[in-house]
Amino acid sequence: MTEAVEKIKLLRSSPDLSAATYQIHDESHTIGNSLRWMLMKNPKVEFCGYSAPVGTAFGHIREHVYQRPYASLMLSRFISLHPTSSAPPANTVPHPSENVINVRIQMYDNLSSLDALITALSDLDKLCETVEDAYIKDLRENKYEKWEERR
Amino acid sequence: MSSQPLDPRRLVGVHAERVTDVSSRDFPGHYPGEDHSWNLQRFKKNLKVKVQRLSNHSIEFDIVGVDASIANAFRRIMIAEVPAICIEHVFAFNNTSVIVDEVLAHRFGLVPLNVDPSLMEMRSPDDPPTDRNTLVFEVDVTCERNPKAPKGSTDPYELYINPEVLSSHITWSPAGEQAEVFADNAPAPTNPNIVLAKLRPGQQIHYQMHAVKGVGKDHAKFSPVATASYRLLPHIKITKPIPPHLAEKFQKCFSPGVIKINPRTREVSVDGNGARKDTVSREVLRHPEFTDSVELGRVRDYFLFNVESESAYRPERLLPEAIKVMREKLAIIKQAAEALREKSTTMDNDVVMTDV
Repeated sequence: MTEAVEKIKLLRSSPDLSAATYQIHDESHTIGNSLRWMLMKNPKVEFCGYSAPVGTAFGHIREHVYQRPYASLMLSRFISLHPTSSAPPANTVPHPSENVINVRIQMYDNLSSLDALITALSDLDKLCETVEDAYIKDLRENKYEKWEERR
Repeated sequence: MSSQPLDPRRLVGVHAERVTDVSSRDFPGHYPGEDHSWNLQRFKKNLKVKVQRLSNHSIEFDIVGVDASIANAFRRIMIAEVPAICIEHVFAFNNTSVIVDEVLAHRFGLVPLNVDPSLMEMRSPDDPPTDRNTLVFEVDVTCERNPKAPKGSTDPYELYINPEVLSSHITWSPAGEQAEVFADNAPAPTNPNIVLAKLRPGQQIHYQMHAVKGVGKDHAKFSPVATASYRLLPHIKITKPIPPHLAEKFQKCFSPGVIKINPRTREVSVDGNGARKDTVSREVLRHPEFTDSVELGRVRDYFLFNVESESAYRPERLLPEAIKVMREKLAIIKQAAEALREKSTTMDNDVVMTDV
């Protein structure tokens, strides 16, 4: 195993990072979908979607995207429509041999998508902490049905 | 719970031929003039986590107020990314049984072990085995004729000694500091009665096996759960009184314990928390006499988890372990993202400097 694999690679972006695609190595729908959800909770995010290789988990899902209701563009393939990228439209779904997900973020007001990504990551962490604390608190209260399971 | 009026936005509609309002829409900008941006305080207020049932092997708990993506992340991590210890390498010294080495080795690999994964380190393919990352097990079973077998018996357990290789024949050989580390819980299979091979007199199986730490996404044997699943809380709303002569028929359209009939007034209602017992079979929607008298649905953010542990973890420990894995992943990605930001800002400065 090579240690030199970057965890996050910037696939393509506008110069000010207000619209960018990040490739996250060794992640799947687990991080992809929850990160997408948290990014969409940010009102400064115009668009966010992720894609994971087909055939690794859910064969029928190619991309998870959510569109603001008033966005006028049809963003079914989310990279190719970006106006500032001059590169040819790439297939946004990673090849099944690649252990990566692609996360596309587009921001309002030329804000940095990388800042939004970092904020979303720490917000997700706080969410996890909150769920864990609530679970442990409830477990300590001991108010559940106990039963013995035979094997 | 289900008898209280519920925000209709939280409901997924279940109709005879279709489901409606499946996706969550609680995003900023979806509803004009409403704030749906991320707010930890609001999330804390709305979140409800409740353990319902706990046994020595399984747990049922509710997580209310999270998005499906989060609930699904926990479920996926419990299945595929919470580590467990399993036999990974098998060295065959002798096998004269009818089962070939590769099949038998595979069976040994699938045996769940009682070793707490937090006591061991992950071993990469290049790493040499050490007492911190590898446990050595041995199995040496020979089948013989029982000289004291009763005449005319056909029971293999009376006729022969060791007619079966069981998981209880797997013995652990401590190495290095392992005898101390595993002092209170000697490594062994969680279930001693798994039949791994059958033997007849003269046949022998002698294997040495190395167990390592791994995760379910690498091989399903490393999955610490037998099942980890969730479903959404069913929601049943009776919109029109059910005629008394149809009460029993209506009741039978649902799972037992869901619908209650008042013995005196014959009034039909949903029994307290009974809705969670329903399978949402939609049987009630098949009968024309019940059209428009009931609405079926599920609560989109009300997750009923059911997790069965099949490993060293006690069932109540699986969710915290999954959350721990999730937070480790987030920390690694965040670190990489911050490094990327660092790199991109210094690169911008370089560009400015060359311009000057």
